[in-house]
Amino acid sequence: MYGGDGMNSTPERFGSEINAQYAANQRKKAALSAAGALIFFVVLVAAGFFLKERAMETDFSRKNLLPCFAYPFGTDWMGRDMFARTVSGLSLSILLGACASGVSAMIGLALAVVSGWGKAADDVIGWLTDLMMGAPHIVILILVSCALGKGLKGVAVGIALTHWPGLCRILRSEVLQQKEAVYIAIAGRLGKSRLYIARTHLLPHLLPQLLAGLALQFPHAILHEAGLTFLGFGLPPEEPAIGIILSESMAHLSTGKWWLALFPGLALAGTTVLFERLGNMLRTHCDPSRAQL
Amino acid sequence: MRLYAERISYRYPEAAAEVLSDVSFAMENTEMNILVGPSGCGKTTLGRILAGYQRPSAGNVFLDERPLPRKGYCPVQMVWQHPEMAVNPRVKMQKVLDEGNADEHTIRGLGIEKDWCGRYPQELSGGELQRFCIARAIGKGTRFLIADEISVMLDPITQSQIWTFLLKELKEREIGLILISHDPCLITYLKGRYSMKMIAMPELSGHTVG
Repeated sequence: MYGGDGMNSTPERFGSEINAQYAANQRKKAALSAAGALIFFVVLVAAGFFLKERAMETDFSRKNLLPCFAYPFGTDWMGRDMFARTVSGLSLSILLGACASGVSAMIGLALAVVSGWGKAADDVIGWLTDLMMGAPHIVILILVSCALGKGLKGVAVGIALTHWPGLCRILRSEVLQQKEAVYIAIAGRLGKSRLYIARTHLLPHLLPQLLAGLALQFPHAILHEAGLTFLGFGLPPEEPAIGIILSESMAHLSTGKWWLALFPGLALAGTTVLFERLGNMLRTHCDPSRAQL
Repeated sequence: MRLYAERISYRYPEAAAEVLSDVSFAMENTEMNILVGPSGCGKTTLGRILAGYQRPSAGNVFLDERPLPRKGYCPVQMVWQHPEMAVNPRVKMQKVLDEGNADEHTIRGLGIEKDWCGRYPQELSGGELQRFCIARAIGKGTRFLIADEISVMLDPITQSQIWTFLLKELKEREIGLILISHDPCLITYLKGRYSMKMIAMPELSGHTVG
């Protein structure tokens, strides 16, 4: 760093150039894989939308079929195509999970940024976070879901309103750390507004945490959707949701119908892992210093 | 314009003794001063207070009879000793220039290359970063510049280039300079060529100025 301007700067320059190039490649690679994963999710959601009719179709002439060419995931005790049910269930879960965890991440981000503005704001938000974390999750979920008349809307709003505290805490600690940074003080003395500082200086530091939080909240959201549905406060039972498929298949597992749980379960696990990977790749892309490691 | 610090005291939280006690200081924007004193005597702390980064425990800073503005562009700007802490590691260098509204003349004068603007701070050397920090601090509204050991990371040739440009610029635009330095060579050189006044830190305590 000290020799950068000197006579003997050639080796250092050379090194940093290689580094920069390597970083660009890493970040580009991460961006490409993330785009690939996103396209996969979009296709899955679209396919689920088109397969929804087929997923609801009952036909007792083809009930309890093992996986075969025509029905790759088999059929259930009412003769419904498990492949169509799995795809449209996943598509519903992805939409629900993405909306709910997206909204709750935005709530967490906004509260974290505001908590950096002053002691009073920080106290109120800290208190609110503790309150939300102290109350049992599932109880709040049930209350919100019931209050909104159950169904998709109730579940989505319930999950969105209950998943922000954890992420808010992480982001808040990052905000408090950044608040002391010299470059933020300088921006303030240059007359920049709070909004400018939050957008330009804070957001690039919060984004990696935010994306990781989003990816981790996604499986949470799906599990809560399944849990709520299982308890009877969530989605209606005819809806092909992954939670409903899994809880229904439990009853048939003991009679040897393994395919009812295996394929939807694997598909859910695969989707979750893919979301996690997506989060990591986005994090790599957002953080230039990490990409250089 | 007159920068005037009236009977300033400062104590760091939980510290036993005051770093600055009853310090008074005044200068015009046409003056150039070198602030000297032993390590730990509060030169940097005084600089931060004059530029509004810290509030004094007692006393006030005035700009032409009005207190130093808390909001908006501060006419007293400061260049920090460690440039790598003064730029955001996740923000490209072009933003640093934009933040201070640095014009083409300044950018060229400081030898900032176009290619550097698209990079992140960790892809530049300390000396290169410091040029950006200087460019950011001498925007249109700046009337006083506090330079806290700004050239210790530069090699002699770059140091001389930057100082030549900076001092010419400050003279032309009538920006007052407070230079904080430990470097005897730099001090002797600048004192001789630009008739700067030396101010010893301990002399500022205990009596009022102007």
